[in-house]
Amino acid sequence: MNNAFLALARKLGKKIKPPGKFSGGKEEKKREEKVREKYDPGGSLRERLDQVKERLGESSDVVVRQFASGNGRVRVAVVFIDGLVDKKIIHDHIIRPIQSERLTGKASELNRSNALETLQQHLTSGGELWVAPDLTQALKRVLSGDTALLIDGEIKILVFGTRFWQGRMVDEPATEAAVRGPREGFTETIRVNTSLLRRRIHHEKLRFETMKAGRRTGTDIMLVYIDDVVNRRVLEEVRRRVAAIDTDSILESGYIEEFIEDSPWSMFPQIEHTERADKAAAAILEGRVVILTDNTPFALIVPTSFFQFIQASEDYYERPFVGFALRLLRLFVLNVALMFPAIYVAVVSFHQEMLPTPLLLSIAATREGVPFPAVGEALLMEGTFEVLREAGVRLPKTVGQAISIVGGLIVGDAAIRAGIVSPAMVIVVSATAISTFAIPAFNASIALRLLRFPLLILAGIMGLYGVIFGLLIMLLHLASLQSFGVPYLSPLVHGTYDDIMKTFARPPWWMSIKRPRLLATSDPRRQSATVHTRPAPGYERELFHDAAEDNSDAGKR
Amino acid sequence: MPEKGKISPRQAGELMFITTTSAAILLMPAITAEAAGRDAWLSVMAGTMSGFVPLAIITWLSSRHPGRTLFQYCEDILGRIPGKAVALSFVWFFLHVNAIIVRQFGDFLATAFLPETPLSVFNFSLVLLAALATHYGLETIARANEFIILLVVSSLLTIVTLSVVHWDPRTFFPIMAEGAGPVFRGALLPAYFSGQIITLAVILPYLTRPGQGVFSGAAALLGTVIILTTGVIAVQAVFGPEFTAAMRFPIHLFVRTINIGDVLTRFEPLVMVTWVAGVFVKASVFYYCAALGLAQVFGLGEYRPLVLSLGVIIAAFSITLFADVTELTFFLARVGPFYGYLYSLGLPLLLLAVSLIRGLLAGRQEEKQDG
Amino acid sequence: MGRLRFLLPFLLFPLLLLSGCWSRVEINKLAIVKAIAIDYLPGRRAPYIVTLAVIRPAAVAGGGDAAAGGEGGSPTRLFTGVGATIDLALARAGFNISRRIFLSHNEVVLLGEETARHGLHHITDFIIRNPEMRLTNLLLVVPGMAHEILAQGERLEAGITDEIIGLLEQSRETSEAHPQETFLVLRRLSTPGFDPHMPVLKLGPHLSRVIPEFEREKRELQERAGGSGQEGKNGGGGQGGGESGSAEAAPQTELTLAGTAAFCGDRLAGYLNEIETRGFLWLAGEMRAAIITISDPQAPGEKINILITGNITKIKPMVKEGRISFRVEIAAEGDLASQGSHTNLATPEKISGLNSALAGAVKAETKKALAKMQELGTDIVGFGAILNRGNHKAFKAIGDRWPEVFREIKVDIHVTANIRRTGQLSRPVRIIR
Repeated sequence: MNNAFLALARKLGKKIKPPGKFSGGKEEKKREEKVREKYDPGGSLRERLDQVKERLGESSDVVVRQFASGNGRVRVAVVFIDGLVDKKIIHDHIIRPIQSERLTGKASELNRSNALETLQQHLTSGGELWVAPDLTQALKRVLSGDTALLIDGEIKILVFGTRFWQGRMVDEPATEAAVRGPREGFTETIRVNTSLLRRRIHHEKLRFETMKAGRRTGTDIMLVYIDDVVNRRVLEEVRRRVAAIDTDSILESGYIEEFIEDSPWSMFPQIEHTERADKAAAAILEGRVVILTDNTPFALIVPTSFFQFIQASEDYYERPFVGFALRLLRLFVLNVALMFPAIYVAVVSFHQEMLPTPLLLSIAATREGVPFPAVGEALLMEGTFEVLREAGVRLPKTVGQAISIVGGLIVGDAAIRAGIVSPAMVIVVSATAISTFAIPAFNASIALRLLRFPLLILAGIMGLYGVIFGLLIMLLHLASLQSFGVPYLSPLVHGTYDDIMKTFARPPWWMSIKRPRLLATSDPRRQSATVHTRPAPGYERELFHDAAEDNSDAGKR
Repeated sequence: MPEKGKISPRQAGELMFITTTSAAILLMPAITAEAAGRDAWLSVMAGTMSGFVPLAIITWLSSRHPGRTLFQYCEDILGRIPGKAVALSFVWFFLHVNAIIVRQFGDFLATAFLPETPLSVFNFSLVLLAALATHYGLETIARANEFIILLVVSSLLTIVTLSVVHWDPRTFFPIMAEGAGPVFRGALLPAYFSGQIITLAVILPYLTRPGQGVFSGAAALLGTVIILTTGVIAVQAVFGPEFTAAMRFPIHLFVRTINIGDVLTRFEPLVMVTWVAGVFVKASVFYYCAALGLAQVFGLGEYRPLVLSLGVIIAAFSITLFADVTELTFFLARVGPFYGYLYSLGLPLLLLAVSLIRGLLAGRQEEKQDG
Repeated sequence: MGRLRFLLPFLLFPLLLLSGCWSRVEINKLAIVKAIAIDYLPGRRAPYIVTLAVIRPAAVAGGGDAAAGGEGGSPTRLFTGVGATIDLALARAGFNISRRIFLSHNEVVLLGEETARHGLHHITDFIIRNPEMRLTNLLLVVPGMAHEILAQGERLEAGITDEIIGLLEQSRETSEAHPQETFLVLRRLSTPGFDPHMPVLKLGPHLSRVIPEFEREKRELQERAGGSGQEGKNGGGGQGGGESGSAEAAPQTELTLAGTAAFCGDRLAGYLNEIETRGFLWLAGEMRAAIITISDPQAPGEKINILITGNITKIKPMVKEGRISFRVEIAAEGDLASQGSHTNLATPEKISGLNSALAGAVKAETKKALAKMQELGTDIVGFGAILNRGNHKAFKAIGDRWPEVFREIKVDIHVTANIRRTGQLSRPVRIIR
């Protein structure tokens, strides 16, 4: 099945992508070389500024400012994009020192022949500085917010790091709220995100490996991992897959997800994403690789196993029992969200013997006079609910509430009163809907929501047998999935007892000695042994006696 | 090599456990009680234990021919043409048994759950599922099975535990009143089911540590002994031997007697889920063995193209092999065991004997050459 | 080929749709049967009368608007069919029902006396083979016609079937009967040396029939009391003040569990009355709770009530020179529930006296039961099975003659009784003027 999809995908891919048209890395380079040959030898400032103009066009946000050095010997120009730069830095650290008429020390020797070096060493004071070998390289930087300093007669170009733009503040993540735990979520600015991670992991081996993807968007992608923890082969594989991305645009990490996941035709998300900095840091510490993408707060976590979707970072901050109970609850809820309507239909129209007699009687009573068979009723109600939910998400908040009241309460009530649907079905559908939202990961819950419908239809055809048939197909599919070499159903399959316990039970931190075995990390141990600080002998008792003595003293006085 | 995946010894053991347990549990109590009466549980124990003989033979064979499947070493041992013939007959055996499994499956569902639905629906859908599993390959079957084994074992234990209130230990006494004869007669069918461990001979080379295959097989057999004996004991303690023997699917009726405070009751769906999931794995294993065998006999590099056509054969067989459920039960009780022994005991023994003799002869020749 | 494969699911899915939906019956198209009464009229060509008690969900659930149409009527409707076999009669009953007969929720099967005499085999075969009938169905014997029971009006519960089930559940607390699920009956039927039994359900006569002179005595009492008769009536008729008003018009009958039907093989042999049932329960070790009254050894004429809390029974087969006998050891336990005399019974000597009195009472009950069982030739305790287990050879030697042998068999009964507690009082309250 999977292979069939893959084959199809390959074919489609070939059709969409006639050779040479888009995979134009080589051609572009050739063109660039021609351009370079045409302009570079002269290296005169005017020519090069023409070249800039030709490249960037007459965009209003492109600023080109020509000026001469203080002693008048060298003509220079700064090129930057308005809105992406900190103008103060440009003024104070680039333009003013060069224009200054009082050049002292070595700077006073500035002339055309030593311009590059003198400017670089003595005249400018920006924190970040690169020397770009040619205009193409420099402009790439300029387009992401740096400032280029072009020097008359010099091929090399100085580029100053001046990136600064209006971005969203670090904020509480909207999709993954938590009662306990840090409130910081990633933002759209990748640099802020790296800082959030670096602030959590101060280790020297934390690596941010930058890659670029998207020929037109030129999006920054960073692989984040701890060098002496991560599994080399997993890292290599991530690198290979990210490097192989060949597209012109990456606007969200979802693009990357689709390009690099193992089974693109699967219903199930094979890469977890998160907005929470602490969750990403935890994943890195477990030995996973986090992929940060510029312009989106969603970071990808690979490899991913299915059971990560029932885990929330809060489980690890609350007491272990709470985490355990919540996970069991989520596991239950997962099943409810997937199967409840299907099982209801199967039971009500095929296996009535399964219901306890009083329940059977009340369901039978409520179904008197309902015109549809249970399957039809369920499909109708589920469909209606999905519409309501979709409408609720898209509408403005104020209107959304009105719609949900009209849709959910009034229409639902009217439908029951009119005898079109039975109250039992409304209960089933709403319980399912609520369960869907109790799953922490939205992408997993949406997959389950979609799979509910085929199961429902199978239940309507063959009863419980149909449901099991559908579930077995799903199980087979899930068992066949892998995410970067890790089985998707791990640690339930291939897992050790320790791993399985950790997935479902969330042991206390002082007992979590090892990292997940299936990630095959280079440093499998988190701590040396089970260590839990016990109270010092007699410590508590002494404190209590001291306090008691104090009290008695107070009484005497 | 048609198969590229590898499974761990634990997964192999679990696969074997489900293979020898899942289909057996439903029919076993009735057929053994028919022959052995009160001592059915002894029959089950003895019969299932006998599976250690084929296990020993195939692991010995496999250690003599490391990295080769049953079908491949057939040729190594018997020569090209006779080897291929024997290997083909093994393929036939796997196909045939698979068809029987599918038929049992359909009959049970049609009898107990959806009486109006035609048999073909169940048979075809199971074959479809097994075909899909085979297409995905051994690794996927093993992984799915790790999930299913939890389901099967836990639901069986739940059912047995809940039935304890109705147990009457008097149904087991006196033990062996009629001597050992009935016990051995009753052990025929359990021996047939545990002989299906022969499938291990096919998957043994795909273990990450093939040397441990014998342990996984032994663990699987022990697990089977425990589960089947528990099941038979539970059913018999509730119904008594005579009534058990008269039933078609005792476990199903057994579950329908469970009623604890009107709350813990109506567990039939659990039985169906267990049965469907377990038999699905078993059918997949046999399907896989047949497909892989056929590919290896004909030297194909890939078994997947064969899957669909084999499925059509299995589905057709499963419908046409038996006219009704009586024939099926008759076959299983009277013919099946001996047919099974031929493949689980007879042919492997022959292979082992020839292999040993060849080994001896080759050793002598070498000695001569050296001398 | 690749594209074809992609299309395969789309081709297969309609196929599934084509194949499906045979077994589907919507829940509101079911006639949910809660009890079946099976009667047998010997000598007729179509002897079986099957009566189904079908529940009307709308009347029971009373779920808001849905129940609007069902108010007032009884929640159960009876449908009857007559046929040469049970299945045929059932099918005939179905001719009268607008919905599909659904037996999965059936809980009680009432067997008319003649049905039970004709043989259980027909009933059990029908129950086991039917995919809908559950083996947890409770089997009851009704002296006379079984369907008459179902025609009774309900009293406390929502339907007559719930009344019966309630009675059976309650009987486990009072040890007046021993309910038997179908599979237990089957287990006994298929065990050598073991006969099945079932509780007897019958229409007991109303108070005025139990005490024929009740009305006259009541009138006399009222006349004697004069003006304050109203109060006296309420105090005296503690059994049910509200009932007596309507009773005068038409003497009602009451549904009661009364005794045990004992089978010989699969045929009804006879009945054990309430006392004998209790004796049988002592023998079977199934006594849960009951009140046993013994006369006070200290104060003749006064009674002492013992609340039985449990018992353990051990039966040992003894074979001496080919003669088979059994030794039964019954250990009874109970609490002192109430006493009539004013003597303090809570001393070790008096309690031991009570113990032996209780043991004697139990032994008497047990002997009565045993005598009745031997008279009927039904081994419902399973002496034969115990012999088979303990001494297989001896049992095998008797072979098929067990029922006859059982009539003559000697059983030694030894009872030990223990009164453990005396309730909330340690001695009776002295009444001081």
